[in-house]
Amino acid sequence: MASNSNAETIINALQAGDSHAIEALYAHHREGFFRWASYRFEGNRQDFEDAWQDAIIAFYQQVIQGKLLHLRHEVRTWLYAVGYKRLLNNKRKLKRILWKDQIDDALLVIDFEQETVDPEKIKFLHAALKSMSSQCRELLVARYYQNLGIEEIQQNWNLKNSNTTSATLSRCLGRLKDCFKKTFTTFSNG
Amino acid sequence: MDEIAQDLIERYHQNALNPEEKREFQRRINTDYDFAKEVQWHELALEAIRLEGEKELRRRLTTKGIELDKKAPKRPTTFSWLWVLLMVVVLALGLWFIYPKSTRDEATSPTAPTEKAFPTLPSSPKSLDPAPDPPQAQIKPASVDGKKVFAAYFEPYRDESLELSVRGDAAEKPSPQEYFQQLYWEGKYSAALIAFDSLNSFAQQDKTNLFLKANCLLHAKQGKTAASILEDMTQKGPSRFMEQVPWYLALSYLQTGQVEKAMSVLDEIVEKKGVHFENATQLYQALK
Repeated sequence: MASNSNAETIINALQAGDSHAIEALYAHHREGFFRWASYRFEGNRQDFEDAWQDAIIAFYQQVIQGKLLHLRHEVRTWLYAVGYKRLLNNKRKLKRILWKDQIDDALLVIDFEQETVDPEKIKFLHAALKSMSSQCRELLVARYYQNLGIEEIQQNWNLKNSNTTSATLSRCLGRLKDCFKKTFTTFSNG
Repeated sequence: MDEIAQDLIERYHQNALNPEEKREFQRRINTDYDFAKEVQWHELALEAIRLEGEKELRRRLTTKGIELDKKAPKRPTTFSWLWVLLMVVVLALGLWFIYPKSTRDEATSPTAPTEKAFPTLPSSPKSLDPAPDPPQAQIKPASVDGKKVFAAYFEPYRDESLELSVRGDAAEKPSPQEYFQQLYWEGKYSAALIAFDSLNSFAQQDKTNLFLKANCLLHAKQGKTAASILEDMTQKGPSRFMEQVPWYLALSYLQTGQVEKAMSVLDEIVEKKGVHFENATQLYQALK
């Protein structure tokens, strides 16, 4: 899987909506990261798995949002550095580091911090989305998370045409906003 | 909120505003309370969608992780290779001292008779497919690993009639179905799977498309789903791939570790003396 070491190929694939590319990337470097992390941290496999998933998800979101178009380092180095930061934030016991490698160098230049969202807010946002139909949820995720185009969504969901697709999306987004408005109005009135 | 305002908000979050529009956006935020509030609702909605997308992606990655862990149940510990090396050295030294010198001489004597560990299996004839023949794997019957055997025998099905340029005018824009089959022909199996999902429901029921999808799934190590498609095809009666389906069904079973089921299908192929007779015989013997 040589393509996985090629940042541009992966970034292009993700931007083109190739959803399997992120899974392939996750699988390709996973064991290597676990091995590397186990030399530095007193953590169990689940700790490393969580950190690795965070790194992969962060990479995906940065690419999809157009914030990560080029990499100074290999994809692997970027992912390891972000995963490493995640482990550091968890304050797990750090082992004595006997060597420095390119990940340590990358840490100095990779300016990336994962956002932390208030758990109560997460609960509220999830509840709002859960109140919608599954098709609405899927469509909104496809459009605003996976960044898929209108035509792609129309084809994937067998919708009539691009106008119908846009209208459906707009209706779903409107419903979600209405849900927030209703909740906040109830709060402010109560 | 009017459509123009909605469009402005949406494009602002897509980073698609030109400088003039950006100024207009800022002006309205500062002067129009309803507009500013709408921007907040939009941001909240995007945050909810991001969390939902992230949850979905995490679920997919977890599933993939479980799959990977199942494939490699024995993980080497940090120093396991050192232990292995040590054991090999101890074993070699032990054998050197224990094994009688005369036996060693006998074994290395040029006149000593030699015996093949396994009888040579008959080579399989060229099948109708232009795909390369699967390697003639020598598998120890005592330690059959369905997935390894699968890897030794599986080649996605190929048949020249699937090539787009053979079937029609290559200059024309291919239909979704042709595009799917073209991706398959070019060996882009992951992309073909995505293309399959965008076919209309009629095309998704087409036996050729289903058979190719099953091959893509096998390639993507999703043997369970592949098996269910192939089982369905077997029950739905004759198709162009009548002779191919059982072979790939057996391989699907092998990929998912269902060795007994695989053997039962292979046994049927051998009995019927179908296209994959030779390979099926060989594989059956190996699994026995």
